[in-house]
Amino acid sequence: MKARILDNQKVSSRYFKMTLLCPEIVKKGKAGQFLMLRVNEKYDPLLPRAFAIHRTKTKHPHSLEILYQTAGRVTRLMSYMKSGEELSIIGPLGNGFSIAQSKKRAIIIAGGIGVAPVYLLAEALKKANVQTDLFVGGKSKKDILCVNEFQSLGVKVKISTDDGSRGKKGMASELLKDFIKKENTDSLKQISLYACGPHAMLQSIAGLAETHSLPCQISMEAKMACGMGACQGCIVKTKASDKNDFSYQRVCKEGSVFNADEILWK
Amino acid sequence: MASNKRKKTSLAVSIGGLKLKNPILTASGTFGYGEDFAEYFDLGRLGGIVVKGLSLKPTLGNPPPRIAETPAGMLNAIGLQNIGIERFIEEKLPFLRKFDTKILVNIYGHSINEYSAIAERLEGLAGVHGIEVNISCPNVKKGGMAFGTDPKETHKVVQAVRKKTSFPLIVKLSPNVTDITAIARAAEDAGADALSVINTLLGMAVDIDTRRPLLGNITGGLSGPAIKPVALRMVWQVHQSVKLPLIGIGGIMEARDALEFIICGASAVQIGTANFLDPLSAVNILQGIEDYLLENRIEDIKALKGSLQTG
Repeated sequence: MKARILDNQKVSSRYFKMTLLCPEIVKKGKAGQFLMLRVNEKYDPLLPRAFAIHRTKTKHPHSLEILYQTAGRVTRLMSYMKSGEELSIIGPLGNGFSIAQSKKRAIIIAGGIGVAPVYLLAEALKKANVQTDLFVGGKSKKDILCVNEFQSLGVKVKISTDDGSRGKKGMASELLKDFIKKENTDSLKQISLYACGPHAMLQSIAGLAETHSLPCQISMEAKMACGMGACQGCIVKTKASDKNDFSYQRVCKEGSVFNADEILWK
Repeated sequence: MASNKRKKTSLAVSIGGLKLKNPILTASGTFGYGEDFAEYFDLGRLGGIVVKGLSLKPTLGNPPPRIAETPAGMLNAIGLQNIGIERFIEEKLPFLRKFDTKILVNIYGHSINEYSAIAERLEGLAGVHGIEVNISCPNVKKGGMAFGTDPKETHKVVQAVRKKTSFPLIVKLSPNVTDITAIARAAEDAGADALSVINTLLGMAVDIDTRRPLLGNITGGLSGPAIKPVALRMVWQVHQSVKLPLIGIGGIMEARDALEFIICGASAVQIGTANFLDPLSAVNILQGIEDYLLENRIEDIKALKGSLQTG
Protein backbone atom coordinates (compact mmCIF):
# COMPACT_ATOMS: atom_id res chain seq x y z
CA MET A 1 0.00 0.00 0.00
CA LYS A 2 1.21 3.50 -0.82
CA ALA A 3 1.41 6.05 1.96
CA ARG A 4 2.13 9.74 1.51
CA ILE A 5 4.60 11.46 3.79
CA LEU A 6 2.95 14.43 5.49
CA ASP A 7 5.89 15.42 7.63
CA ASN A 8 9.47 14.29 8.27
CA GLN A 9 11.25 16.13 11.06
CA LYS A 10 14.53 15.73 12.85
CA VAL A 11 13.87 15.48 16.59
CA SER A 12 17.45 15.25 17.84
CA SER A 13 20.90 14.29 16.57
CA ARG A 14 20.07 11.02 14.79
CA TYR A 15 16.37 10.69 15.42
CA PHE A 16 13.50 11.61 13.13
CA LYS A 17 9.72 11.54 13.17
CA MET A 18 7.82 10.76 10.00
CA THR A 19 4.09 11.32 9.63
CA LEU A 20 2.36 9.05 7.11
CA LEU A 21 -1.13 9.29 5.69
CA CYS A 22 -2.60 5.78 5.99
CA PRO A 23 -6.22 5.76 7.25
CA GLU A 24 -6.62 1.96 7.32
CA ILE A 25 -3.61 1.32 9.51
CA VAL A 26 -4.55 4.21 11.79
CA LYS A 27 -8.02 2.71 12.22
CA LYS A 28 -6.78 -0.79 13.05
CA GLY A 29 -3.40 -0.21 14.67
CA LYS A 30 -2.86 -0.64 18.39
CA ALA A 31 -0.03 -0.23 20.87
CA GLY A 32 3.01 -2.36 20.11
CA GLN A 33 2.07 -3.13 16.51
CA PHE A 34 4.33 -2.26 13.63
CA LEU A 35 4.40 -1.72 9.90
CA MET A 36 6.80 -2.86 7.18
CA LEU A 37 8.09 -0.01 5.08
CA ARG A 38 9.93 0.28 1.75
CA VAL A 39 11.41 3.60 0.71
CA ASN A 40 11.13 2.98 -3.03
CA GLU A 41 10.40 0.41 -5.71
CA LYS A 42 14.07 -0.36 -6.31
CA TYR A 43 15.74 -3.58 -5.23
CA ASP A 44 18.70 -2.21 -3.33
CA PRO A 45 18.02 -1.94 -0.44
CA LEU A 46 15.83 -4.95 -1.05
CA LEU A 47 13.83 -5.86 2.00
CA PRO A 48 11.22 -3.80 3.82
CA ARG A 49 12.04 -2.64 7.36
CA ALA A 50 9.90 -2.85 10.48
CA PHE A 51 8.87 0.34 12.31
CA ALA A 52 6.70 0.56 15.39
CA ILE A 53 3.62 2.73 15.23
CA HIS A 54 4.61 5.60 17.51
CA ARG A 55 1.50 7.77 17.57
CA THR A 56 -1.85 7.72 15.82
CA LYS A 57 -3.01 11.16 16.91
CA THR A 58 -0.99 13.65 14.93
CA LYS A 59 -1.89 17.11 13.71
CA HIS A 60 -2.98 15.55 10.41
CA PRO A 61 -6.14 13.43 10.29
CA HIS A 62 -5.90 9.70 9.37
CA SER A 63 -2.15 9.68 9.82
CA LEU A 64 0.35 8.01 12.08
CA GLU A 65 3.82 8.81 13.23
CA ILE A 66 6.90 6.63 13.27
CA LEU A 67 9.99 7.49 15.27
CA TYR A 68 13.25 6.31 13.75
CA GLN A 69 16.97 6.50 14.23
CA THR A 70 19.30 6.85 11.25
CA ALA A 71 21.33 3.70 11.68
CA GLY A 72 21.62 2.15 8.23
CA ARG A 73 20.95 2.79 4.56
CA VAL A 74 17.17 2.59 4.73
CA THR A 75 16.78 5.00 7.63
CA ARG A 76 19.28 7.37 6.03
CA LEU A 77 17.26 7.37 2.80
CA MET A 78 14.12 7.96 4.86
CA SER A 79 15.71 10.98 6.54
CA TYR A 80 16.18 12.63 3.11
CA MET A 81 12.53 12.20 2.11
CA LYS A 82 10.21 15.19 1.90
CA SER A 83 6.54 15.63 2.61
CA GLY A 84 4.47 14.81 -0.45
CA GLU A 85 6.67 11.86 -1.40
CA GLU A 86 5.27 8.33 -1.17
CA LEU A 87 6.57 5.08 0.19
CA SER A 88 5.13 1.54 0.48
CA ILE A 89 3.85 0.11 3.72
CA ILE A 90 1.90 -2.86 5.00
CA GLY A 91 0.38 -3.18 8.45
CA PRO A 92 -0.60 -3.13 11.18
CA LEU A 93 1.43 -6.26 11.97
CA GLY A 94 2.25 -8.19 15.13
CA ASN A 95 0.15 -8.89 18.20
CA GLY A 96 0.67 -5.65 20.14
CA PHE A 97 0.62 -5.13 23.91
CA SER A 98 -2.24 -6.54 25.90
CA ILE A 99 -3.47 -4.17 28.61
CA ALA A 100 -6.57 -6.15 29.54
CA GLN A 101 -4.91 -7.80 32.54
CA SER A 102 -2.94 -4.78 33.58
CA LYS A 103 -2.81 -4.16 37.31
CA LYS A 104 -3.40 -0.80 39.00
CA ARG A 105 0.05 0.46 38.24
CA ALA A 106 2.23 0.06 35.18
CA ILE A 107 5.93 0.62 34.75
CA ILE A 108 7.10 1.03 31.19
CA ILE A 109 10.83 0.58 30.66
CA ALA A 110 12.25 1.78 27.35
CA GLY A 111 15.80 1.94 26.05
CA GLY A 112 16.86 4.16 23.12
CA ILE A 113 14.55 3.85 20.13
CA GLY A 114 12.53 1.41 22.28
CA VAL A 115 10.35 4.37 23.27
CA ALA A 116 8.77 4.27 19.79
CA PRO A 117 6.19 1.51 20.42
CA VAL A 118 5.38 2.43 24.03
CA TYR A 119 3.80 5.86 23.54
CA LEU A 120 0.55 4.30 22.27
CA LEU A 121 0.80 1.89 25.20
CA ALA A 122 1.00 4.79 27.67
CA GLU A 123 -2.05 6.31 25.99
CA ALA A 124 -3.98 3.06 26.27
CA LEU A 125 -2.99 2.60 29.92
CA LYS A 126 -4.14 6.13 30.70
CA LYS A 127 -7.48 5.39 29.07
CA ALA A 128 -7.76 2.28 31.25
CA ASN A 129 -7.02 4.39 34.36
CA VAL A 130 -3.75 2.65 35.07
CA GLN A 131 -1.23 4.82 36.89
CA THR A 132 1.86 4.73 34.68
CA ASP A 133 5.57 5.51 35.10
CA LEU A 134 8.16 5.51 32.34
CA PHE A 135 11.77 4.57 33.00
CA VAL A 136 13.65 5.65 29.91
CA GLY A 137 17.31 5.10 29.11
CA GLY A 138 19.77 5.81 26.32
CA LYS A 139 23.47 5.89 25.51
CA SER A 140 23.72 9.60 26.31
CA LYS A 141 21.38 12.55 26.86
CA LYS A 142 20.95 12.89 23.08
CA ASP A 143 19.33 9.45 23.04
CA ILE A 144 16.60 10.32 25.54
CA LEU A 145 13.49 10.94 23.51
CA CYS A 146 9.87 11.99 23.88
CA VAL A 147 10.03 12.83 27.60
CA ASN A 148 7.61 15.76 27.21
CA GLU A 149 5.15 13.69 25.22
CA PHE A 150 4.90 11.15 28.02
CA GLN A 151 4.74 13.82 30.71
CA SER A 152 1.85 15.51 28.99
CA LEU A 153 -0.03 12.21 29.28
CA GLY A 154 0.50 12.43 33.03
CA VAL A 155 3.20 9.76 33.01
CA LYS A 156 5.97 10.14 35.60
CA VAL A 157 9.33 9.86 33.86
CA LYS A 158 12.68 8.70 35.26
CA ILE A 159 15.80 8.88 33.13
CA SER A 160 19.08 6.98 32.89
CA THR A 161 22.01 7.18 30.48
CA ASP A 162 24.92 4.81 29.90
CA ASP A 163 27.41 7.69 30.20
CA GLY A 164 25.63 9.46 33.03
CA SER A 165 25.08 12.64 30.99
CA ARG A 166 21.46 12.76 32.11
CA GLY A 167 19.73 11.03 35.02
CA LYS A 168 21.09 7.89 36.62
CA LYS A 169 24.15 6.25 35.11
CA GLY A 170 23.37 2.85 33.62
CA MET A 171 20.62 1.07 31.71
CA ALA A 172 16.94 1.82 32.30
CA SER A 173 16.68 -1.57 33.99
CA GLU A 174 18.79 -0.05 36.82
CA LEU A 175 15.95 2.40 37.44
CA LEU A 176 13.61 -0.55 37.79
CA LYS A 177 16.00 -2.23 40.22
CA ASP A 178 16.03 0.92 42.42
CA PHE A 179 12.27 1.21 42.22
CA ILE A 180 11.66 -2.40 43.27
CA LYS A 181 13.98 -1.99 46.27
CA LYS A 182 11.83 0.84 47.62
CA GLU A 183 8.48 -0.91 47.20
CA ASN A 184 7.07 -3.43 49.66
CA THR A 185 5.69 -6.85 48.69
CA ASP A 186 2.08 -5.67 48.76
CA SER A 187 2.63 -2.66 46.55
CA LEU A 188 4.61 -4.77 44.07
CA LYS A 189 1.55 -6.99 43.67
CA GLN A 190 -0.21 -4.05 42.05
CA ILE A 191 2.37 -3.61 39.31
CA SER A 192 2.66 -4.78 35.69
CA LEU A 193 5.80 -4.25 33.62
CA TYR A 194 6.11 -3.41 29.93
CA ALA A 195 9.44 -3.07 28.15
CA CYS A 196 11.11 -2.42 24.83
CA GLY A 197 14.78 -1.84 24.16
CA PRO A 198 18.17 -3.50 23.77
CA HIS A 199 18.50 -7.22 24.41
CA ALA A 200 20.67 -6.85 27.53
CA MET A 201 18.16 -4.46 29.08
CA LEU A 202 15.23 -6.77 28.34
CA GLN A 203 17.08 -9.75 29.74
CA SER A 204 17.84 -7.87 32.95
CA ILE A 205 14.19 -6.78 33.27
CA ALA A 206 12.98 -10.33 32.63
CA GLY A 207 15.23 -11.48 35.48
CA LEU A 208 13.80 -8.87 37.86
CA ALA A 209 10.26 -9.74 36.80
CA GLU A 210 10.88 -13.40 37.54
CA THR A 211 12.51 -12.77 40.93
CA HIS A 212 9.64 -10.56 42.08
CA SER A 213 6.83 -12.41 40.28
CA LEU A 214 5.82 -9.37 38.24
CA PRO A 215 3.85 -9.81 35.01
CA CYS A 216 6.03 -8.44 32.23
CA GLN A 217 5.39 -7.95 28.53
CA ILE A 218 8.33 -7.21 26.28
CA SER A 219 8.46 -6.14 22.67
CA MET A 220 11.23 -8.00 20.83
CA GLU A 221 13.21 -7.19 17.73
CA ALA A 222 14.81 -9.44 15.08
CA LYS A 223 16.01 -9.27 11.49
CA MET A 224 12.93 -9.76 9.35
CA ALA A 225 12.36 -10.33 5.67
CA CYS A 226 8.57 -10.13 5.34
CA GLY A 227 7.11 -9.11 8.71
CA MET A 228 3.98 -11.13 8.06
CA GLY A 229 4.90 -14.66 9.11
CA ALA A 230 5.98 -16.17 5.83
CA CYS A 231 9.78 -16.26 5.91
CA GLN A 232 10.30 -17.60 9.45
CA GLY A 233 13.43 -15.49 9.65
CA CYS A 234 12.69 -13.41 12.75
CA ILE A 235 12.51 -16.11 15.38
CA VAL A 236 13.33 -15.96 19.09
CA LYS A 237 14.11 -18.95 21.26
CA THR A 238 11.24 -19.71 23.61
CA LYS A 239 10.52 -22.24 26.33
CA ALA A 240 8.80 -25.48 25.42
CA SER A 241 6.49 -27.60 27.58
CA ASP A 242 9.39 -29.97 28.19
CA LYS A 243 11.92 -28.14 30.38
CA ASN A 244 14.92 -29.50 28.51
CA ASP A 245 13.52 -28.52 25.17
CA PHE A 246 12.91 -25.23 23.38
CA SER A 247 11.04 -23.88 20.41
CA TYR A 248 11.26 -20.93 18.05
CA GLN A 249 8.53 -18.32 17.72
CA ARG A 250 8.23 -15.62 15.09
CA VAL A 251 8.71 -12.08 16.35
CA CYS A 252 6.42 -10.77 13.60
CA LYS A 253 3.53 -13.15 14.17
CA GLU A 254 3.50 -14.69 17.66
CA GLY A 255 5.15 -11.41 18.82
CA SER A 256 6.50 -8.86 18.67
CA VAL A 257 5.16 -8.69 22.24
CA PHE A 258 5.94 -11.73 24.40
CA ASN A 259 5.53 -12.46 28.06
CA ALA A 260 9.05 -12.16 29.44
CA ASP A 261 8.84 -15.62 31.01
CA GLU A 262 8.30 -17.26 27.60
CA ILE A 263 11.73 -16.27 26.32
CA LEU A 264 14.89 -18.36 26.63
CA TRP A 265 17.56 -15.72 27.06
CA LYS A 266 20.73 -17.78 26.69
CA MET B 1 -21.35 -10.05 -25.85
CA ALA B 2 -19.84 -6.64 -26.46
CA SER B 3 -17.82 -6.63 -29.65
CA ASN B 4 -15.28 -4.16 -28.31
CA LYS B 5 -14.30 -6.48 -25.48
CA ARG B 6 -10.54 -6.88 -25.25
CA LYS B 7 -9.43 -10.11 -26.71
CA LYS B 8 -8.54 -12.62 -24.03
CA THR B 9 -5.24 -14.35 -24.12
CA SER B 10 -4.65 -17.86 -22.85
CA LEU B 11 -2.45 -18.13 -19.80
CA ALA B 12 -3.07 -21.80 -19.04
CA VAL B 13 -0.09 -24.10 -19.02
CA SER B 14 0.46 -27.77 -18.38
CA ILE B 15 3.49 -29.05 -16.50
CA GLY B 16 4.03 -32.77 -16.56
CA GLY B 17 0.32 -33.51 -16.31
CA LEU B 18 -0.35 -30.68 -13.90
CA LYS B 19 -2.76 -28.18 -15.42
CA LEU B 20 -2.33 -24.62 -14.18
CA LYS B 21 -4.71 -21.76 -15.00
CA ASN B 22 -1.70 -19.48 -15.29
CA PRO B 23 2.08 -19.85 -15.02
CA ILE B 24 2.48 -18.08 -11.67
CA LEU B 25 3.32 -20.16 -8.62
CA THR B 26 4.66 -19.03 -5.27
CA ALA B 27 7.96 -20.57 -4.22
CA SER B 28 8.39 -22.86 -1.26
CA GLY B 29 9.48 -21.13 1.93
CA THR B 30 8.34 -17.68 0.82
CA PHE B 31 4.60 -18.13 1.16
CA GLY B 32 4.19 -20.22 4.32
CA TYR B 33 1.07 -22.36 3.97
CA GLY B 34 -0.80 -19.53 2.28
CA GLU B 35 -2.73 -18.23 5.30
CA ASP B 36 -0.72 -15.06 5.80
CA PHE B 37 -1.32 -13.99 2.20
CA ALA B 38 -5.04 -14.82 2.02
CA GLU B 39 -5.71 -11.53 3.84
CA TYR B 40 -4.21 -9.65 0.91
CA PHE B 41 -5.66 -11.39 -2.17
CA ASP B 42 -7.72 -14.36 -3.34
CA LEU B 43 -5.25 -17.26 -3.48
CA GLY B 44 -7.40 -18.69 -6.27
CA ARG B 45 -5.83 -16.17 -8.62
CA LEU B 46 -2.54 -18.06 -8.51
CA GLY B 47 -1.62 -20.85 -10.88
CA GLY B 48 -0.34 -22.71 -7.85
CA ILE B 49 1.17 -22.57 -4.39
CA VAL B 50 4.27 -24.51 -3.40
CA VAL B 51 4.06 -24.86 0.36
CA LYS B 52 6.93 -24.53 2.82
CA GLY B 53 9.21 -27.60 2.69
CA LEU B 54 7.89 -30.44 4.82
CA SER B 55 9.70 -33.27 6.55
CA LEU B 56 8.38 -36.45 8.11
CA LYS B 57 8.74 -35.00 11.63
CA PRO B 58 8.49 -31.35 12.72
CA THR B 59 11.79 -29.51 12.33
CA LEU B 60 13.00 -26.64 14.53
CA GLY B 61 15.32 -25.04 12.01
CA ASN B 62 18.52 -23.07 12.54
CA PRO B 63 19.48 -20.69 15.35
CA PRO B 64 19.09 -16.95 14.70
CA PRO B 65 20.00 -14.71 13.00
CA ARG B 66 18.45 -16.36 9.97
CA ILE B 67 18.23 -13.41 7.59
CA ALA B 68 20.82 -11.02 6.20
CA GLU B 69 20.44 -8.49 3.42
CA THR B 70 23.11 -8.27 0.71
CA PRO B 71 23.29 -6.02 -2.38
CA ALA B 72 20.03 -6.59 -4.32
CA GLY B 73 19.64 -9.88 -2.51
CA MET B 74 19.14 -11.65 0.76
CA LEU B 75 20.68 -14.60 2.53
CA ASN B 76 18.51 -16.95 4.51
CA ALA B 77 19.39 -19.85 6.74
CA ILE B 78 15.99 -20.90 8.05
CA GLY B 79 16.97 -24.55 8.05
CA LEU B 80 13.59 -25.80 6.83
CA GLN B 81 11.70 -25.11 10.07
CA ASN B 82 8.35 -26.81 9.53
CA ILE B 83 5.44 -28.43 11.31
CA GLY B 84 5.91 -31.88 9.78
CA ILE B 85 3.76 -33.71 7.28
CA GLU B 86 1.05 -34.87 9.72
CA ARG B 87 0.26 -31.44 11.10
CA PHE B 88 0.31 -30.05 7.57
CA ILE B 89 -2.34 -32.55 6.50
CA GLU B 90 -4.44 -31.92 9.60
CA GLU B 91 -4.11 -28.17 10.06
CA LYS B 92 -3.07 -26.54 6.79
CA LEU B 93 -4.40 -28.60 3.93
CA PRO B 94 -8.12 -28.09 4.77
CA PHE B 95 -7.59 -24.33 4.46
CA LEU B 96 -5.69 -24.61 1.18
CA ARG B 97 -8.40 -26.86 -0.32
CA LYS B 98 -10.81 -23.93 -0.26
CA PHE B 99 -9.00 -22.13 -3.06
CA ASP B 100 -9.27 -22.76 -6.76
CA THR B 101 -5.54 -23.21 -7.23
CA LYS B 102 -3.06 -26.08 -7.40
CA ILE B 103 -1.23 -27.11 -4.26
CA LEU B 104 2.26 -28.49 -4.63
CA VAL B 105 3.80 -30.02 -1.55
CA ASN B 106 7.52 -29.45 -1.23
CA ILE B 107 9.15 -32.38 0.59
CA TYR B 108 12.60 -33.14 1.93
CA GLY B 109 14.17 -35.89 3.95
CA HIS B 110 17.42 -36.86 5.62
CA SER B 111 17.42 -40.20 3.84
CA ILE B 112 15.86 -41.77 0.79
CA ASN B 113 13.52 -43.68 3.09
CA GLU B 114 12.22 -40.43 4.55
CA TYR B 115 11.55 -38.99 1.10
CA SER B 116 9.58 -42.09 0.11
CA ALA B 117 7.69 -42.18 3.39
CA ILE B 118 6.43 -38.60 2.90
CA ALA B 119 5.48 -39.29 -0.71
CA GLU B 120 3.60 -42.39 0.41
CA ARG B 121 1.75 -40.44 3.10
CA LEU B 122 0.65 -37.80 0.58
CA GLU B 123 -0.40 -40.27 -2.11
CA GLY B 124 -3.95 -39.70 -3.26
CA LEU B 125 -4.74 -36.98 -0.71
CA ALA B 126 -7.52 -34.64 -1.77
CA GLY B 127 -6.27 -31.09 -2.17
CA VAL B 128 -2.74 -32.10 -3.14
CA HIS B 129 -1.97 -31.72 -6.85
CA GLY B 130 1.73 -32.39 -7.06
CA ILE B 131 4.97 -32.99 -5.21
CA GLU B 132 8.08 -30.88 -5.44
CA VAL B 133 11.11 -32.83 -4.24
CA ASN B 134 13.65 -30.57 -2.58
CA ILE B 135 17.12 -31.94 -3.18
CA SER B 136 18.70 -28.53 -3.01
CA CYS B 137 18.33 -26.79 0.36
CA PRO B 138 21.75 -25.40 1.27
CA ASN B 139 20.85 -24.93 4.93
CA VAL B 140 20.50 -28.43 6.30
CA LYS B 141 23.56 -30.51 7.02
CA LYS B 142 22.20 -33.95 6.27
CA GLY B 143 20.02 -34.53 3.26
CA GLY B 144 18.81 -31.52 1.36
CA MET B 145 21.53 -30.49 -1.04
CA ALA B 146 23.48 -33.74 -0.67
CA PHE B 147 20.93 -35.42 -2.95
CA GLY B 148 21.07 -32.60 -5.45
CA THR B 149 24.79 -32.40 -6.10
CA ASP B 150 25.48 -35.95 -7.26
CA PRO B 151 23.59 -37.33 -10.28
CA LYS B 152 23.60 -40.87 -8.83
CA GLU B 153 22.03 -39.70 -5.56
CA THR B 154 19.52 -37.60 -7.47
CA HIS B 155 18.54 -40.62 -9.51
CA LYS B 156 18.07 -42.75 -6.41
CA VAL B 157 15.91 -40.29 -4.51
CA VAL B 158 13.73 -39.38 -7.50
CA GLN B 159 13.24 -43.04 -8.38
CA ALA B 160 12.25 -43.83 -4.78
CA VAL B 161 9.66 -41.00 -4.70
CA ARG B 162 8.40 -41.96 -8.17
CA LYS B 163 7.57 -45.44 -6.89
CA LYS B 164 5.39 -43.98 -4.15
CA THR B 165 3.53 -41.22 -5.97
CA SER B 166 1.15 -40.89 -8.86
CA PHE B 167 1.09 -37.11 -8.48
CA PRO B 168 3.06 -34.97 -10.91
CA LEU B 169 6.61 -35.13 -9.56
CA ILE B 170 8.72 -32.00 -9.77
CA VAL B 171 12.37 -31.96 -8.73
CA LYS B 172 13.85 -28.70 -7.44
CA LEU B 173 17.46 -28.39 -8.54
CA SER B 174 20.41 -26.83 -6.78
CA PRO B 175 22.57 -24.26 -8.57
CA ASN B 176 25.50 -25.23 -6.35
CA VAL B 177 26.86 -27.76 -8.83
CA THR B 178 29.43 -27.83 -11.61
CA ASP B 179 27.00 -29.04 -14.25
CA ILE B 180 23.31 -28.62 -13.58
CA THR B 181 22.38 -30.44 -16.77
CA ALA B 182 23.86 -33.71 -15.45
CA ILE B 183 21.57 -33.50 -12.41
CA ALA B 184 18.62 -32.54 -14.60
CA ARG B 185 19.15 -35.58 -16.82
CA ALA B 186 19.45 -37.87 -13.80
CA ALA B 187 16.09 -36.59 -12.52
CA GLU B 188 14.55 -37.05 -15.95
CA ASP B 189 15.85 -40.62 -16.27
CA ALA B 190 14.50 -41.45 -12.80
CA GLY B 191 10.96 -40.48 -13.77
CA ALA B 192 10.52 -36.81 -12.83
CA ASP B 193 7.67 -34.98 -14.60
CA ALA B 194 9.15 -31.49 -14.35
CA LEU B 195 12.04 -29.53 -12.87
CA SER B 196 12.16 -26.38 -10.76
CA VAL B 197 15.27 -24.36 -11.59
CA ILE B 198 16.82 -23.05 -9.27
CA ASN B 199 17.03 -23.11 -5.48
CA THR B 200 19.21 -20.54 -3.65
CA LEU B 201 22.93 -20.08 -4.15
CA LEU B 202 25.14 -20.88 -1.20
CA GLY B 203 26.64 -17.68 0.22
CA MET B 204 27.73 -15.78 3.30
CA ALA B 205 28.20 -12.32 4.78
CA VAL B 206 30.33 -11.00 7.63
CA ASP B 207 30.11 -8.17 10.16
CA ILE B 208 33.60 -6.66 10.08
CA ASP B 209 33.22 -4.99 13.49
CA THR B 210 32.46 -8.19 15.37
CA ARG B 211 34.11 -10.47 12.76
CA ARG B 212 31.11 -12.71 13.08
CA PRO B 213 29.02 -14.16 10.26
CA LEU B 214 25.69 -12.37 9.77
CA LEU B 215 23.90 -15.73 9.91
CA GLY B 216 23.69 -18.09 12.87
CA ASN B 217 24.33 -20.96 10.45
CA ILE B 218 27.40 -19.10 9.04
CA THR B 219 26.35 -19.82 5.44
CA GLY B 220 22.95 -19.42 3.83
CA GLY B 221 21.04 -19.35 0.57
CA LEU B 222 21.22 -16.24 -1.61
CA SER B 223 18.05 -15.15 -3.37
CA GLY B 224 16.58 -12.05 -4.97
CA PRO B 225 17.49 -9.95 -8.04
CA ALA B 226 21.20 -10.65 -7.48
CA ILE B 227 20.80 -14.27 -8.62
CA LYS B 228 18.49 -13.77 -11.60
CA PRO B 229 21.18 -13.89 -14.32
CA VAL B 230 22.54 -17.15 -12.89
CA ALA B 231 19.07 -18.68 -12.66
CA LEU B 232 18.23 -17.63 -16.19
CA ARG B 233 21.44 -19.13 -17.57
CA MET B 234 20.67 -22.41 -15.80
CA VAL B 235 17.09 -22.54 -17.10
CA TRP B 236 18.43 -21.98 -20.61
CA GLN B 237 21.04 -24.74 -20.21
CA VAL B 238 18.59 -27.24 -18.74
CA HIS B 239 16.00 -26.39 -21.40
CA GLN B 240 18.49 -27.45 -24.05
CA SER B 241 19.43 -30.70 -22.35
CA VAL B 242 16.16 -32.28 -21.18
CA LYS B 243 12.65 -32.65 -22.56
CA LEU B 244 10.94 -32.06 -19.22
CA PRO B 245 8.89 -28.90 -18.64
CA LEU B 246 10.68 -26.37 -16.44
CA ILE B 247 9.59 -23.99 -13.73
CA GLY B 248 11.90 -20.99 -13.59
CA ILE B 249 12.84 -19.50 -10.22
CA GLY B 250 15.39 -16.95 -9.12
CA GLY B 251 15.00 -13.25 -8.45
CA ILE B 252 11.71 -12.75 -10.26
CA MET B 253 10.47 -9.39 -9.01
CA GLU B 254 8.33 -8.16 -11.91
CA ALA B 255 6.58 -9.41 -15.02
CA ARG B 256 9.54 -8.74 -17.29
CA ASP B 257 11.73 -11.04 -15.16
CA ALA B 258 9.14 -13.82 -15.42
CA LEU B 259 8.92 -13.30 -19.18
CA GLU B 260 12.69 -13.67 -19.53
CA PHE B 261 12.47 -17.09 -17.88
CA ILE B 262 9.61 -18.16 -20.15
CA ILE B 263 11.48 -16.99 -23.25
CA CYS B 264 14.49 -19.05 -22.06
CA GLY B 265 12.37 -22.19 -21.87
CA ALA B 266 10.38 -22.17 -18.62
CA SER B 267 6.72 -23.22 -18.85
CA ALA B 268 5.92 -21.55 -15.55
CA VAL B 269 7.68 -19.53 -12.89
CA GLN B 270 7.83 -19.34 -9.11
CA ILE B 271 7.81 -16.07 -7.22
CA GLY B 272 9.94 -16.21 -4.08
CA THR B 273 11.75 -13.32 -2.43
CA ALA B 274 9.38 -10.81 -4.08
CA ASN B 275 6.61 -12.06 -1.77
CA PHE B 276 8.57 -10.61 1.15
CA LEU B 277 8.68 -7.14 -0.38
CA ASP B 278 5.02 -6.95 -1.25
CA PRO B 279 2.39 -9.62 -0.54
CA LEU B 280 0.76 -8.72 -3.86
CA SER B 281 3.89 -9.37 -5.95
CA ALA B 282 2.67 -12.64 -7.47
CA VAL B 283 -0.65 -11.23 -8.67
CA ASN B 284 0.99 -8.03 -9.92
CA ILE B 285 3.43 -10.14 -11.96
CA LEU B 286 0.52 -12.16 -13.35
CA GLN B 287 -1.23 -8.96 -14.42
CA GLY B 288 1.98 -7.69 -16.03
CA ILE B 289 2.36 -10.88 -18.05
CA GLU B 290 -1.21 -10.65 -19.27
CA ASP B 291 -0.67 -7.02 -20.30
CA TYR B 292 2.49 -7.96 -22.17
CA LEU B 293 0.73 -10.73 -24.10
CA LEU B 294 -2.14 -8.42 -25.04
CA GLU B 295 0.16 -5.61 -26.12
CA ASN B 296 2.23 -7.96 -28.23
CA ARG B 297 -0.83 -9.77 -29.62
CA ILE B 298 0.35 -13.12 -28.33
CA GLU B 299 -2.78 -15.24 -27.96
CA ASP B 300 -1.26 -18.05 -25.98
CA ILE B 301 1.59 -17.87 -23.49
CA LYS B 302 2.77 -21.26 -24.70
CA ALA B 303 3.90 -19.55 -27.92
CA LEU B 304 6.42 -17.57 -25.89
CA LYS B 305 8.02 -20.56 -24.21
CA GLY B 306 11.60 -21.17 -25.35
CA SER B 307 11.26 -18.50 -28.04
CA LEU B 308 14.73 -17.05 -27.41
CA GLN B 309 16.29 -15.86 -30.67
CA THR B 310 19.95 -16.75 -30.70
CA GLY B 311 20.69 -16.60 -34.42
